[in-house]
Formats: sequence, structure tokens, C-alpha cells
Amino acid sequence: MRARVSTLTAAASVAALAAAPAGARDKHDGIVVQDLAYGEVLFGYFQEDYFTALTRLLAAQERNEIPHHSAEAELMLGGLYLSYGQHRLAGEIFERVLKDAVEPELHDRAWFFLAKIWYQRGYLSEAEAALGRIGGELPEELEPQRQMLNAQVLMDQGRFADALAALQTWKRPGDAWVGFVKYNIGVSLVRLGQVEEGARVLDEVGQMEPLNTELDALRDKANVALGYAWLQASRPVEAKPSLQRVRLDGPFSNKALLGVGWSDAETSDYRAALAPWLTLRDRNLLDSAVQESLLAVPYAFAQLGADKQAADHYTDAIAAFNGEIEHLTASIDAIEHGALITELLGQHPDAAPETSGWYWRLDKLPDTVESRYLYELLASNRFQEGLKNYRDLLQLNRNLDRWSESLGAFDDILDTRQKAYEQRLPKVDESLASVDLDALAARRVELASRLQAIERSEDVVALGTPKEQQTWRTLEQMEPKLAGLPNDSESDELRAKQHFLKGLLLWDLRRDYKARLWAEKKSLGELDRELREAQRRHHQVQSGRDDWPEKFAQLTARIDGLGPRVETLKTTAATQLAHQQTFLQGLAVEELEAQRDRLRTYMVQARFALASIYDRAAAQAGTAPQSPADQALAGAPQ
Amino acid sequence: MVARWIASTCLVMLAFGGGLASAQGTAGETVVAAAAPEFANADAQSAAARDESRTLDEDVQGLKKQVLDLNRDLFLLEEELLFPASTQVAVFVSMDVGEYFGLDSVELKLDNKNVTNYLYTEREVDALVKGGVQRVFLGNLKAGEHELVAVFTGQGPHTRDYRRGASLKFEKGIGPKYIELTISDRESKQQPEFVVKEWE
Repeated sequence: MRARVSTLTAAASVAALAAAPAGARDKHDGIVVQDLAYGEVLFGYFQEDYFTALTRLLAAQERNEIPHHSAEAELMLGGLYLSYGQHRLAGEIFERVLKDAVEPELHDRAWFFLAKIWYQRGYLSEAEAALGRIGGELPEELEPQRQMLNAQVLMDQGRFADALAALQTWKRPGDAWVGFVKYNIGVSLVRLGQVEEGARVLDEVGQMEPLNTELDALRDKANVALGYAWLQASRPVEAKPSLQRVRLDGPFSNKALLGVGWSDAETSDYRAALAPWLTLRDRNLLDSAVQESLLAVPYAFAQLGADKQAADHYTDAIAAFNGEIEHLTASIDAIEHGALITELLGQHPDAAPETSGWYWRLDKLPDTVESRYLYELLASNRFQEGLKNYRDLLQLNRNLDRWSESLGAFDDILDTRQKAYEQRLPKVDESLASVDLDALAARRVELASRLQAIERSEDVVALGTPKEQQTWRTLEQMEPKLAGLPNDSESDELRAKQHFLKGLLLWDLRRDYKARLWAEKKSLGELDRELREAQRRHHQVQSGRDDWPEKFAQLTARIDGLGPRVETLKTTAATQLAHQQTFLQGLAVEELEAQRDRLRTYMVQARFALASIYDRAAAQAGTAPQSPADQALAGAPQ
Repeated sequence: MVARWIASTCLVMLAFGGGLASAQGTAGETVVAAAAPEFANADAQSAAARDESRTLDEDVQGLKKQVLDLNRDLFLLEEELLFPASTQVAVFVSMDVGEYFGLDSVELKLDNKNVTNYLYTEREVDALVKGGVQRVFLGNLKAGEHELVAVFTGQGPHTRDYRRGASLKFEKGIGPKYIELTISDRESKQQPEFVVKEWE
């Protein structure tokens, strides 16, 4: 078989490809797949069916079915474990296998992908250690990713000075990653308190010429970050230009509009601040910037002395916050009843997922109230990795259910075989007893020695046909009788006739002797073969008869042993599935509760501000106003 | 001051909560949402949250390993029970085509009895083209002489339809018998044919 998989690519692919779906690769050229079982593993792997591929590989190793690929099989195992999200086991295998005698590129790629999965799963120190094992430079498409991953690992650990040092060694000032590098440098500098320096770098990113949607988003993000850095440093004048550079239709425009308003408000230009904030208040209330604008607008009106408008806007805000709090409470309730997972997986939670493992990612959020509130959480690695585990647990549950059913069937099959064996046993025993293979073998030996004797003595008569042998005997028996006859012409003629006939027969026998000897030897050879086959079959039947009870006991013991394992794991899997669901729901509920708490705080602020306006109005007019705002204030939950 | 307080709530969210998500793919390719900036780093977890997440993750990994080992043992048991070595016959399909060949189906007859009619998905064909080997049939046969007839259909270059067959008389001994059917265009360029190989 001309195979597509070379030793290097198979091994490298599995390790390296742990991060890139198999479909991304093209044909391979290379050496032969020499063991069918190895090809079967690849068949599963290339379909991203890692569970099946792993099971097949583990079974193949157990049965020693891949002698020609044993070296790469171990690395394949590590790669498959990694692809299936078993990063601990993958790490152990890489540790062992990649230590020596492996191409440096393969070694480095394997550790890179392991670092990546460890980072995604929040194993930061392990990710850092794995990155530290990379000895050289990775291929061009991976090297920038390695450097960025390294910086992210350090930044997530709060080690901004180390991250900065790593980022500043970036050697490719002209490549497409430079914006991301600069952004992270800017962030690190600000976090290290070097605001001026950080702002300068972020400003550069904020003014980059965008080439694609990613850079657009990056530029917006840098501008917002920079603007808020200046606001935080009480320098609103510097904040405004960068915030104004953010696209109005981009994902960061709400934050930018809010910030622009605050930069104006900080310079007491409340009239200017109202413009962006009024734009914001008509936007989607799910956004925290929009929610904040509901308070900012009346605040600006109040600062401008427009108490009536301020009171109306505060009243609207309280109503809007109330409505949102109700929605959030309903969403929290729905999530606690399991709605979120069902919606996210787009199917009934008991349905089996098509693929499993590390590559899978939720690529589309369902359009539901819950997911709109939870957009950022759902997109986070923490949630995504948890969701992957949830899906894998679903698959494990299905798998265990299937085996649980199959084991019952195995028991039935075994019982049926046992009954069939017991029924056939007397017949088999009878049949075995009726065949005397030893006697047959002895007969064969006798025949062989007879043939040998015939050949040695060239006994041509012995190989004659029965008729020839009968004729020969008759002619021989005639000889003494003819010898006793008188010596007359009649007797002489009879003797001559007998002599002639005997000579004629002998001539015929001699003529046919060699062919007959060859035929006899051939027959003996065939007899040998048949005898051997009979002995083999006899032995097979005998072994089958004798071995079955032990085989039956052994298979029964295996089924009996596997049954409890399946049931125990079923219980564990169900428990873990419930834990995983609780964990994911907990993350979501925690997030929604934080949003609800924020809205409640906003509401308190709105009521407090509204009350202050009323107090002021009452002090001025001598009586309290009776406006819709009063009613809202009176009816609002505490 | 109210303004300062309100703004600060937003600042908390925006306050450089960590690194920026970097593009997941190579810089030149289209990277869906890879660079979508995350403001407050949604992954900047508290140590307690990270611990909980890790504990769960490690529990899941432990369980996965146990289930994988169980599947290995069950796989071996199932084969030994249902397809003992003395009667086991397996037919495999692989591909060795230089030009693209879209395999549609493989049909197998053993001793004139239809045993498999397998229809392929694109993903399976892709896996075969890349070097995977599919066990398309696993069954039991008595020792002795048997005949396998295999037919495949598919579409070759220039959307040309193909239907090719092969037959093989083989001897089933006491051990398992493996037959590999390779769809190959090596012998005649751009003309896929079955190449049959027996494995012991």
C-alpha cells in the first residue's frame, strides 16, 4: 500500500495538529503504512474521531498489532490524548517520548501545542514550563503565536514586567502581529504604572492603518483602553481624541461614547457630554455602557440646572433598570433550570455530540436573552473549556450506556454458545472416538515400507493391476504342471506358449513399472497430506472441545468484571456531568447576579439623585411635586 | 462626586484586565473573532475559581482515561466473543490515488452473499485519501476456500463515473484472515482499480 503518512508527518501531525484540524492538511507523501491497525487509527484520527482512534490504538498496543509503527504509535498516542483534551497524559507521554532521538522541530511543536491547551484550560505554570521546553524557533506560522502565548501566560499571572521584556524582543517589526504586540506592550506599561509610555504605544496602535476587521477591532480596543487610561489618570483632555477615533458602528463604540461624555463632563462641559450620552441611551440596554448612560444623562441635565428633565430621565432610568432586573432574574431562574446548556448546544442535552475533544468550539451563540447577557462570559476560555468537558462527558455517558446494553447481550451470546457446546458434546466425543488416527498412521507406515521393499527389489509384479497379478499367478502355477508333462511336441508347444505369455506379461509389467512406482509414491504423498489434515482437524476439534470450558470461564469472568466497571463509571460520569453543568450554570448565574447587582446599585443612585432633586424643588417651592417621577419612586422596589 | 463614581465603575471593567487575545491562526489568514479584543479579560479568574475549574477538569480527565481503558477492554472482548480468531475474516479499504477520486460506495459479496454495501461521507473519503484504512467488514467464515467479490463506485477527475470490481478466491485457515482492498490509480494513470492484498 502506498501510504500517505510518513513517520515524521504522522507523528508530527498528531502532536502538531493537535491544534489544527486534520482537514487543514493536504496529502502526504511518504512511506508505507505497514500495519492495518495503524491505518485504522489514522482513519479515526483524520475524521477527528479521537475517542475511536484512541480506543483502537490502545487495543492495538495491547494486542501488539502495530509492530512496524511502535515508535510513532507512542507519539501518536500523546497527540491523540492532546486532541481529546487529555493534556495531563499527553504531557507525560511527550515528556517520555520527546526526551531524545526526536527531531527538534517535532519536539518544539509538541510542547507548543501542549502549552496552548494548558493556557486555555488555565494551567498557567504548566503552560509556562511547556513553553520553556521549546528549544528553537518554531515554523513561521507558529513562531508569532508562541511569542504571543508566552506574553499572555505572563500577563495572566500578573507578571507584566516579564511580559514586557518578552514582548520587547519581538523580532518582526513588519509583520501582521505587530499591532497585537504593541497593544500588549502598552497594556503592560500601563499596568506597571508607566502610563505616559504606555499611552504613547497604545496611541501608535490606535492610529494604525487597519488592513482587516481584526486590526479594526484592535485599533478600537487600543483607543478605548488609552482613553480610559487617561480618564483614570484624571486627564480628560488627552482622553477625548483617542476615544473619538473609535468607530461608531464597532463593538467598542458604546464604551467610547460613554468615555467621550465623561471626558467632557470632567471638564464641566455637560452640554457637550449630553450628545454622546443621549446617543447611547437609545442603544441596547443589555450593554453596561448604555445602562450607565441612563444615569449619566440626567446627571448632566442636573448639572446644567434642568431639574425637570433630569427628574424625568431618572424616572425613565429607574423603570428601565427595573425591567432589566426582572429580565435578569428570569434569566437566572431559567439557567438554574438548565436552559442555558440546552440552548448553547442547540439540541437536547442528552443528544450525542458529533465530535469531541479540544478542537471543538462553540462558534455561534444562540439568540436568546441569556446568551445576550452572557456574551463575554460565553466567549471566554474558561467557559468554552468547561463546555467542551461537558460535551465530552455527554459522549462518555452515551458510550457507557451503549456498553451497558451490549454487556447484557454478550452474556446471552455466551450462554447460547455454552448451551450449543453442551448439546454437541456427546456427538463430538462420539465422532472423536470413532476416528483412530494412530491406526491410520500405522497403516501409512506399513504402506510406505511395502513400497520401499518393492522399489528395492524392483518387484514389478507387485505394482501390476489385479488382473495382471492374477494372470501372473496363473502362469506361475502352470509352470510345475507343464514341467511334469512328457517331452512331446504338444507339451513343448504348451510350455513355449506359457513361457511366451509370461515373458509378454513381464515385458508389460516392466514397461509400466516406473510410471506405477511414481504414481504410488504420489499417492503416498497425498495420503500424508490428508493424514496431516485429518490430524490437524482432529486436534482442532479436540482442542476446541477441551479448551472451551476454560475459554467460557475466562470470557464469563471478563464480562463479570467489566459489568461493575461500566456501572461504576456510569455513576461517576453522571455525577461529573451534573457537576460540570452546575459549574457552568454557576459561572453564568454569578455573571448575571453581578450585572443585577450593578443595576440595583444604579437604581439606588438614581433614586438618591431623584430624591435630591425633589428635595431641592420642594425647598424652592415649599411643596413636593406630584409628578410621574414621584409615582415611580414610590413604586420602585427597594 | 457622582460622576467620578459612575465613571469608575466603567473603568473597573476596562482597566486593562490582562492581555489581549491574540489571533489564533496565522496572521495572513482570515481569523474569525480571533482578535476580538476582550476588555476586562474574561479569563482573568480568581485563584479560587481557577482551582475549582482545575479540579473539575482533572476529574473529567481521570474519568476519560478510565472510560478509554474500559473501551479498550470491551473492544477486545467484543471481538474475541463475536469474531473468534479461528473464524474471523476482515475486509479493509484504503486509497492510493494520485488524482482526486470521490469514492461513493463499496459493495462486498462473500460466497455470493451480499455482506456490505457501504456509502461514504466526504469526511471518510478524506480520511482514506490521507492514509487512513477502514475496516469495512468483520465477520466469521469456516476454514476452507471462499470467494470475495468487491465493487466500488465513485467519481474520478472530470466528473467521470467509475464502477470497478475485483474478485478473490482465498483460503481461510485457522487464524484470522485479513483482506485489504486498495483503490489505486498507480497501475493505470487516472484509472482507479482495486488492488487486493491478503494479510495473515
